[in-house]
Amino acid sequence: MIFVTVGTAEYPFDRLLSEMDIIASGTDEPVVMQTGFSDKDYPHTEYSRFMSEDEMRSNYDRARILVCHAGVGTIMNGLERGIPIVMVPRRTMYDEVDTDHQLMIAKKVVDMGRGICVEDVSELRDAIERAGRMELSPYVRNRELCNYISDVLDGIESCMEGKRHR
Amino acid sequence: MKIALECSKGGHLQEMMGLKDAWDRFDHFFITYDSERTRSLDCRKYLIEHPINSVPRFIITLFMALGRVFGERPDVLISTGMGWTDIFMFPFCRLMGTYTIYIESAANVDYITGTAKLIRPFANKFLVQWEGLAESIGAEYHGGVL
Repeated sequence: MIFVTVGTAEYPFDRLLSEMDIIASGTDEPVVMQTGFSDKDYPHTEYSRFMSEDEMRSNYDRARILVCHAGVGTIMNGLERGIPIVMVPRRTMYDEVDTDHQLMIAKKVVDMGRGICVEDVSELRDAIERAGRMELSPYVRNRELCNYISDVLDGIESCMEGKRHR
Repeated sequence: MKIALECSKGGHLQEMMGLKDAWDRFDHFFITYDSERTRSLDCRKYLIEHPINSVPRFIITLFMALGRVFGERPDVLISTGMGWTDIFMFPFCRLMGTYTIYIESAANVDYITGTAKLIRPFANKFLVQWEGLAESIGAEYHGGVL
């Protein structure tokens, strides 16, 4: 199953969704789409504008490939499942986002060797085929920031306790 | 010790959840934008209307949230980014003596947002998630969620 998600930002992303509907019409593989702020229909896919947390989790778990906007939350979900991520960054020039920051994070994921970035949606079909051939090692989450924040909080708590005992 | 967790909905919330092992063991509450997902958060939460939906509703719910935060008197504020709300929440919390931590989103690789620049003077800790960015702007770097 190919899972397509465009996040919950208040901007439509029909450019990606329309192309995926065309691709879905030419394959037997199920294509499930979370379409967000889009008013269009995508008849060759199983789609819904928004999904519950459980539905989203289930779709991420079942997906062979993730096709998505280059949002951090979405990318985190793809990385954790160890599946190839085909990202189409939202662009201000198409009124899909407020700033062009998605290009930067997409490039980082490509540099990590865990995804493909597509700027022209006519290249999406080919990118999905290439993604299917990617062999990914299990993803190991970077714990450094979490551990650091944990240490900072411990330090503050100790300080507070120290002051209380004085 | 009580921690206020401030984040926008969507990816910023996801990033905050990526740090759950650090804050979950303390008493905590969320300050975030109203959405289906944030309404189902299983803890104390103060939901603010996103300004893109209605500026008057944003202002009303923001001030209501500030009132609730005043009542909570958190010891620490951690934010992974909440745009306009950060601009009010950071100075407000500093005035109360709260220790403030700002973590710029992993989405911002080459530069920090306008909001981040505005609240930086009010952050006891100002962290970014990319080493190159940290070097270029003199911020702290201790890894990232990705």
